[in-house]
Amino acid sequence: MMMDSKRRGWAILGVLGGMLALWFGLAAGWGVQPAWAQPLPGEEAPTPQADAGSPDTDCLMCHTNHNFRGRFANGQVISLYVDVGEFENSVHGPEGLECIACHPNTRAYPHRPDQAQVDCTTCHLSEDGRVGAVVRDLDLVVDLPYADVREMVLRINQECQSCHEEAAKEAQDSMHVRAQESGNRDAPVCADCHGSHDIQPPGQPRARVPQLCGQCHRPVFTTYQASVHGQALQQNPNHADVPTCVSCHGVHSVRGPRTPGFHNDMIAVCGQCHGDAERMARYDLSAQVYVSYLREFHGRAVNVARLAGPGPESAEATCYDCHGVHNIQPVDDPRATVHGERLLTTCQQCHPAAGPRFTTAWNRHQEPSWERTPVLAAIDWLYGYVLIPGVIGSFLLYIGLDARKRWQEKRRAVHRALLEAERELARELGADDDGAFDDEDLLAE
Amino acid sequence: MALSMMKTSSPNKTDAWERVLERLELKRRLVLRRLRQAEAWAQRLKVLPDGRRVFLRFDPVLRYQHFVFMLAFTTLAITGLLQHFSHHLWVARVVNVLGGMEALRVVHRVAALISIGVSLHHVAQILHMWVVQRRRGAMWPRWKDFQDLWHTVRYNLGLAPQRPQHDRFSIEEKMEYWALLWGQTLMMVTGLMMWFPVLVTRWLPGEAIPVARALHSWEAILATLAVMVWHGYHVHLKTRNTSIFTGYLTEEEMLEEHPLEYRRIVAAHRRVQQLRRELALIEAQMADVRTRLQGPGQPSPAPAAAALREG
Repeated sequence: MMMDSKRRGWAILGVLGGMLALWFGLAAGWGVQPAWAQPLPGEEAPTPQADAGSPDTDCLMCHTNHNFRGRFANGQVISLYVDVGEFENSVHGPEGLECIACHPNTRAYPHRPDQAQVDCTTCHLSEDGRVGAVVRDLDLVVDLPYADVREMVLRINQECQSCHEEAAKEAQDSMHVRAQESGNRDAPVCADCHGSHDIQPPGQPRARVPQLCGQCHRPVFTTYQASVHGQALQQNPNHADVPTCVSCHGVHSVRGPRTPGFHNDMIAVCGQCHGDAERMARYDLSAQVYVSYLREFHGRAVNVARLAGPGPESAEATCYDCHGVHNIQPVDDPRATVHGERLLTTCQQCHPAAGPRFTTAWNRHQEPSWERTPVLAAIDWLYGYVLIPGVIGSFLLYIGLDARKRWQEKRRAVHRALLEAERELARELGADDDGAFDDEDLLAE
Repeated sequence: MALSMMKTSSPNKTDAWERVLERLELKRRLVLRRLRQAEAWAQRLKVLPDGRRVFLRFDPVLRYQHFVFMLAFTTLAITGLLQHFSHHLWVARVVNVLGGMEALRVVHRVAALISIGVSLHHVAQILHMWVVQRRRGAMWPRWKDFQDLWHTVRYNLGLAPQRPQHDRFSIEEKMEYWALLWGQTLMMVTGLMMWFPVLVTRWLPGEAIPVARALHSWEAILATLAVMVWHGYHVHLKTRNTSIFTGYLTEEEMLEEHPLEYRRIVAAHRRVQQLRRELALIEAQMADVRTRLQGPGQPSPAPAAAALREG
């Protein structure tokens, strides 16, 4: 019974100690990000392998002809001229890629049985009437095996993934591929953004990205160009601190606002820059906005939902729910959704009954400080440095003294019981007159 | 006795009898009040069939209040602290295992409503005690409580010969009760403010909401730690007192932990019989006087008071 309660006591002490250690651990660990939460460095994209095939000179025999044209089944005619210089300057030029790397199905050139209009003399008839070298700038139109130009682009585009596997895999879940699969032939494929023979390294300059996207997404592009980010990018086309379309929507995995996880993940996208003190210092902006948001009612819920991975979107507001999506403006700009009177309207999107005072019912993206929020700072100080250490400390002291005393008492009681038992034994064995049990008694037996 | 010797019923005499009756009535009320008090204490003593004596410590209502509040408090502490520390990755994982932040908030609010219900019931009981019963209650602070605190420390340091003897509630118990009253009030007010910010900012400046939030989370941490340390030691480690669930303490536990209350109950138990006899006597005397006041024409019945005295 006694042993049992003692062991039980130690167990409870252990749990209490653990709780205290946990509390101090939690208090000390605010803001610490484990290393494994950081994104892993991306794997190197596989280098395209140039496949040795027929020499390009064969192709260029006709495709350097400015008058070489093709006719689609729908009657549309396009130039089949290829600017070799343009190709040499593209990313694929120095790689030594040959035409058939991207056009592998064109090996049967040009003597295909289905192209009856092509015979030797069509091209090789020299001026003097003999069969010889190709006639320069021969006016020539061939039938193309495609219904129209879009079909050609879509078919040839399928060859990109034979080298760019990673990008193709990423694109599988993108909004664009989904649109393509649902039957929208105009949804962009690789060549629509990257070009064909003139492919340049992506994002050079960065201002090219929104322009490319804006070719289709016109209204969004116009809004973005007027936003604080778009304006900065227009002033410096290679501005490194400004998000372009792909910063939020992803590069090949193009995500829309309804893609699972997009809403929750966006806080980390904005926080990447707006939580970076060094970067924000360049623009005289507060870097506390992200951390203080994470401590707020909205931020906690969104952050936890984000860490759970793609799933149901948190109903709480993320950055863009208040600051606007493509039309983000500085807080002091009258156009900003969070400026002055407009902030209430923004709050009322989710809190319809909110009154004017509601807009001040939060920390306004700042950590509590003695200058700005003395009441909050005083509460933090009072509890953190006075009440909790004082109350819990004096409790522990009081309890420690009490427990020590009770332990002493228990030990003394056990000691007394032992003495008593010893005396009892001595009496039973026939003690001396002095009542003590000693060796003489044994000898006397 | 004087009563039996007065036989006439002139107007003067009638007045005198009525004064006697008034005095008897006052005395009866005094004795009755003492009897009720003694009974209230004596009721706490219960003799089991095997002859052991046990002492009622918490009546069923208090036991239900403690049980429900215990569950609500634990739920609130767990779901609240998880929300507070959700910026830690492992806490966020736990939150997501439990169903996410929104689910946690729903559970937190349901538990909060339950704890508010229990608190309001308890406050109603306190008000009933103060206003209707005109008692201050055993939790009311006394000067002795603070002396006890000091004496306990002195005894534990070996500076006093013995521990202070506790009445119904020791100072350790009272401190925890007062802390709970204060803490629950603060948590209820700040929690409701956070729950209904739109409503609150109709009357209060917006800054009240972050203040409520800071108070709510700090007080939660303080309360949880205090309960774990103070309650944990005094009712789990120091003794194994289960009376909050069973309702009763044994005679040994009572002598050890609440000797003053023990003496009070035992004395009241003895006193009840004596007070009942006194009351019966007074009532019999009053009956006699009333008979005399009804008039001389009727034959006077055998005085009940005399019969009682002889019996």
